[in-house]
Amino acid sequence: MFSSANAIQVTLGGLATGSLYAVILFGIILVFQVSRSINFAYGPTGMLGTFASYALYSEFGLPVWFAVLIGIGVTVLIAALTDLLIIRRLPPQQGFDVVVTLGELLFLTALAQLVFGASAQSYLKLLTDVPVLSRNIFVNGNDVLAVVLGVAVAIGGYFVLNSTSLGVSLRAAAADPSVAQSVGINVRGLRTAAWAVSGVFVAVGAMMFAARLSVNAFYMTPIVINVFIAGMIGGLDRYWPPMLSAFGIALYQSWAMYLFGEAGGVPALFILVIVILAAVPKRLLDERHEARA
Amino acid sequence: MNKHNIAGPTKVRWAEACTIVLWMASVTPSFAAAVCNPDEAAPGVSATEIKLGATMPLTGSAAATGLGAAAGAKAYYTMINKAGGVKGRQINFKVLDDQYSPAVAQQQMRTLVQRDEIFAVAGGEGTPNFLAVVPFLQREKVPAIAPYSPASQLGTMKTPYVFMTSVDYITEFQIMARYVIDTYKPKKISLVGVQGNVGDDAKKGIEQAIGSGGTTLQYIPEVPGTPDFTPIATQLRENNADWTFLILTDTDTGQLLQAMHRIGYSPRTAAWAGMDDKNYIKPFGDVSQGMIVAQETAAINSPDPLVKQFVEQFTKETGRAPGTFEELGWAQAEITVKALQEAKALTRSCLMAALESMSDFQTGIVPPIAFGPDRRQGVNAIGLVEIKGEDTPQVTPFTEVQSQ
Repeated sequence: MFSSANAIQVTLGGLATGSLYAVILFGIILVFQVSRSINFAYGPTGMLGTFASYALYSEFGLPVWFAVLIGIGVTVLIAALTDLLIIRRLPPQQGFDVVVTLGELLFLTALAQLVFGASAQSYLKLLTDVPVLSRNIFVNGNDVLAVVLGVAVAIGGYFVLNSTSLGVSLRAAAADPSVAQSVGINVRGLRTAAWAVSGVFVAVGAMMFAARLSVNAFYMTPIVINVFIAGMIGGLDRYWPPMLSAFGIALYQSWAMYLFGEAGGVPALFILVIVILAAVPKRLLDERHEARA
Repeated sequence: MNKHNIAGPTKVRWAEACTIVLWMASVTPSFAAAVCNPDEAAPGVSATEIKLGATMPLTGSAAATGLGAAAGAKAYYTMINKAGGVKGRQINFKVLDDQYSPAVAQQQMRTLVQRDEIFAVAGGEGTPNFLAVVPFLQREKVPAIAPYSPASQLGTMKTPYVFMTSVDYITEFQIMARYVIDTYKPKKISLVGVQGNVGDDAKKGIEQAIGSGGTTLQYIPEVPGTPDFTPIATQLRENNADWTFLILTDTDTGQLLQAMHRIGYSPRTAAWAGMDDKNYIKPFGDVSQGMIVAQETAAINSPDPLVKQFVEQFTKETGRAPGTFEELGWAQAEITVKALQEAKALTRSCLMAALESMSDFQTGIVPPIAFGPDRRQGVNAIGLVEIKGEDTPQVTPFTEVQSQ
């Protein structure tokens, strides 16, 4: 029977999911705004770091905190190497980044399957077993942590990008690399740093999702699809619209699944995308100059 | 016979729906008993080898099942080849990755049949991917031996080239639900099943078990790969059923149970045969205690001498211990080799005739197999096990069931 408790439960679940979407999306926005590149290998990058941390604590007996740090480090390294070894060497034409990162996505997924196997593995609990509320509405520590992280990243990211010299440098490098270079900004180094930092966010998001789901070679794929949809709806060269879209589509999809059944979640999301693309004035879409996103 | 299980539910989408419609339109409605013609052309058979093939998910979310089945079959064929092969010919077994996708499976099966010219399809794993290739195999008159695709559309003379050794989901869930209803008398049952024919078959089975009884059934279709199971868990909690039946991929089953557990809803559960596997129990055993699971293949630790022999030989061939899906692949290969050995000549019609004459063939892994001129369901029995700790003791023995 429909009840306010169930309504709150669904809403809180959607909010926690949307918060993690926002954490992951921030890394995508950072990379896009500084280098105008789309990294489709972003999800598997986080998956590999998560899987690495799993293997280190479960197979090699490393302390959990150390395994998690190394897992984040692995993700950061892969993200940085993606820029250093691949993106930097591409010709400037649009579209090459999409093609090569799609190839990297397939490679990393196959690599994970080869190294870690095809089976799902139960990841760290990361507070999922710590009840915060537990009468008719159940909230656990992981949900609270997810929301705190999501809100902190959204607000903190905005502050860094708009109110610090680092943010000014990032935007300058993105707007006109040659001018930025001429005033002393190390554009190439800044871009690689942005790619590396994006790895931290996808690693944290991937680990938090793994705690709620499990970890296997494919678990990040549907998550990152939803995150990219949020980016597309909001526009990757903006900040608050995509970040709020991340929260919004998770809440929307949770309610769609609750009301229409789990199988209704994906169709509902794509209906939303179509409606938004049809309803938003073309002028706004054109202004974004980001059809590729 | 003791326990154990098999493969994965699936992704059923528009492509599959279209496939099923085409499949229904193209299957042969009637078929006379196979007559062995030793003089007909025999694709895939030479003086030195017999080409066999199958498609399975070797990548993607269902890869664990296909990789296991492929490894089991290859180990068996390796053993047979070392012993001289079949009728003096080496078995050349080729497995192509169908990614669990009906569209990919169609392409790959065409490659196997038309380019590689396989003699027969030997085994296979997964329901929608195999269903998608059935019309093609029927048209090309290629025998398919023991694919693990427990769909209700197979196992009858509507698909005479397909010889089934797994019980369909309608029967599986009917038996399981009947046991639960008779033993625990639940007032409400919920079912979460992969959207499409897999979930629909399970629903039909439970409905048949309920019959005119007072138990109510809630059915929630599912699409694999959702990032958040809270809404579906909340729906289940809202219905507050005594029992929840599940026919999802192993990963989705575990993740849904975790989500249910997190919101304080922990009903008794029952699931299809795939959950009786160490690869499921290891990560998700803590939320699956007491789960009733259908049993289609013998337990790896069964005292049955044939199963012990399988474990010993598989370990010898591969250097590692087998799992449930390796066991499945091994049995599929064993059935195929038996049919090849019994065929009067290595032609497809003679292979079909040999399969039709197979009676009470014991693998130790699946129940005794018997086909006939008008029988394509070679196995019609399942047992039930319960997840307890990391073990799965049997709660009901293998029982022969009546065809639906």
